[in-house]
Amino acid sequence: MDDRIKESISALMDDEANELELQRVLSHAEKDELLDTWKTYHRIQSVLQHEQEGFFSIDISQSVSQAIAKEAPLTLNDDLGKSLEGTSANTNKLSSSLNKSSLQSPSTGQVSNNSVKIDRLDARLMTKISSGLAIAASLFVAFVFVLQNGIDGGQGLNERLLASESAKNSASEFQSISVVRVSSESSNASKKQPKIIVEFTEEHARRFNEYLLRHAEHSVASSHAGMMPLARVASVNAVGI
Amino acid sequence: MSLFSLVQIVFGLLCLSSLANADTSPENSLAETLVSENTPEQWLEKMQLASMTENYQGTFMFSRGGMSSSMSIVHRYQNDEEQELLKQLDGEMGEIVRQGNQVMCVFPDNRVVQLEKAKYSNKIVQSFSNFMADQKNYRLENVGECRQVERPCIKLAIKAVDQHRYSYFLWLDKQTGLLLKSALKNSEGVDLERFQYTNITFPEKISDKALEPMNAGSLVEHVIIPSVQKDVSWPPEIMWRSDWVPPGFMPISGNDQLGGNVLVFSDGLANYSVFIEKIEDNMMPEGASQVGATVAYALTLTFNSHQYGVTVIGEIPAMTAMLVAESVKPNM
Repeated sequence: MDDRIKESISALMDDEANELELQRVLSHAEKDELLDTWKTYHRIQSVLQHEQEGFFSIDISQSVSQAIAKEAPLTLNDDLGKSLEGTSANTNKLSSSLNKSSLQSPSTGQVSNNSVKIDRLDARLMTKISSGLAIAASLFVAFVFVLQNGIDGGQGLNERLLASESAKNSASEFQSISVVRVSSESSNASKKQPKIIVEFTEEHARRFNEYLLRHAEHSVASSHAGMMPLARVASVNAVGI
Repeated sequence: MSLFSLVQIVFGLLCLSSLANADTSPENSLAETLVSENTPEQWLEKMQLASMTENYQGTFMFSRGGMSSSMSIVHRYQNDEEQELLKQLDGEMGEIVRQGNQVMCVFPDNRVVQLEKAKYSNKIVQSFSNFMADQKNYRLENVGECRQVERPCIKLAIKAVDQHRYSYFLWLDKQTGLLLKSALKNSEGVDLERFQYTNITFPEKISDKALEPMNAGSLVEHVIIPSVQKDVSWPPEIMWRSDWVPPGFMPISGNDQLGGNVLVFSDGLANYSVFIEKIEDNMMPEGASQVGATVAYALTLTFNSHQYGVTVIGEIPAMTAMLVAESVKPNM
């Protein structure tokens, strides 16, 4: 593990990590090594702050995974449906505010601020989603949304969906969103973990633009969209992709 | 009051009177009535026609996500052919030239990309307004009248009825039907993409010179976008299918017409393309990457121990793109 990733972990703990550092931690391949460093840094922090050290030997990620695997799928009864509708609206607002705030001053501290909003949600709902949030938290995922069949108008979206949103690359103005399906029925633990995406590199930006050109090609041929597909291509190019 | 002031007032009143008479002439009244009686569907048809057959030039702002750029456009319809020059006004010069079905992108580094002429067989692409009238996934509303770039316009709302597409708000020039402003919003009402003319004129004639790209004399490279290569481990005649298509979307390309590993779908307003490729090192990261309203969702799938990469790109929500990507399979 190089010094850069260690500095990023340290910054993350201090709520001072920028989006790039967050992504660096999220995309680090050696998860065990990462977790060890995370724990070590917490031990140091707790010693410095005269806290108990025993807490850090507890690893709840396995038990949380098992609990989710055993959990019955959510059913959308009337009460819960109303709660979920409220949740959806709140999380959407949360998402919007996170997006806006991340553009200005990306910080993991925003997660804790937004958790205050989540506290207002229905207690039963929190019970249902808390396990998913715990797993996401264990993987240092910054932003978590819980979507539910029926609320999003999703057809066939029978599973709970977790979406972890990463930072946008400030140079290219791209936003990357990793959307990962999490099945509550499945016993395969690997499927329950959000995929962690890598940084949106210049190479990926070029790749995106290639797709965009080809997509514009199809859209232009359909002619109904006028010059809009071309403006999309030109505008991406205008920011240096 | 001086005599000069009195003459000024009388002259002003005469001018106002003549303007009022012009506005209430029988022909103009009839035109106004016809304009206001147009249905939203008729306005869309008029918009489509205007974007192709009107001569116009102007500048506009185009915003998507956190970025915004200004561009100029010159559009001419002559001898049954569209000609268009789109130019970036911010940063380095980039131009897009359209002559009929041929589109050339001239990038700031003088690299030229010619968009391939796709052959479409489905009649949807030729009859957008008819398709809109038939499909039930948008709700069309005539919101009212307003004014944009000093021109009276009609505002239309095209509201998505489900979560698989975005909603559009369109401001159409009342006289010509041309789109003067548009906003594309997600289900939370957040602006994902915004387009707006800052000035526009409708000249009767546009010269050839106005349509000449400035970078045309210094082109150093001409790149045709390469076709997507198939993985050699797959049979050469393999075809692909998408098992799940969002309601209201229909294929607008034959599988074989775009090289066998590109699928294109449209609901008449939004399009998405599906690219199936062999796995490479420089592929997009799995998940969704988004610029404004355009999302690219990349996914690696396996079929009979063969891996293949699927990328869905279009003006659709990330969740919809994900569901589409997950459903792409070889048609064997």
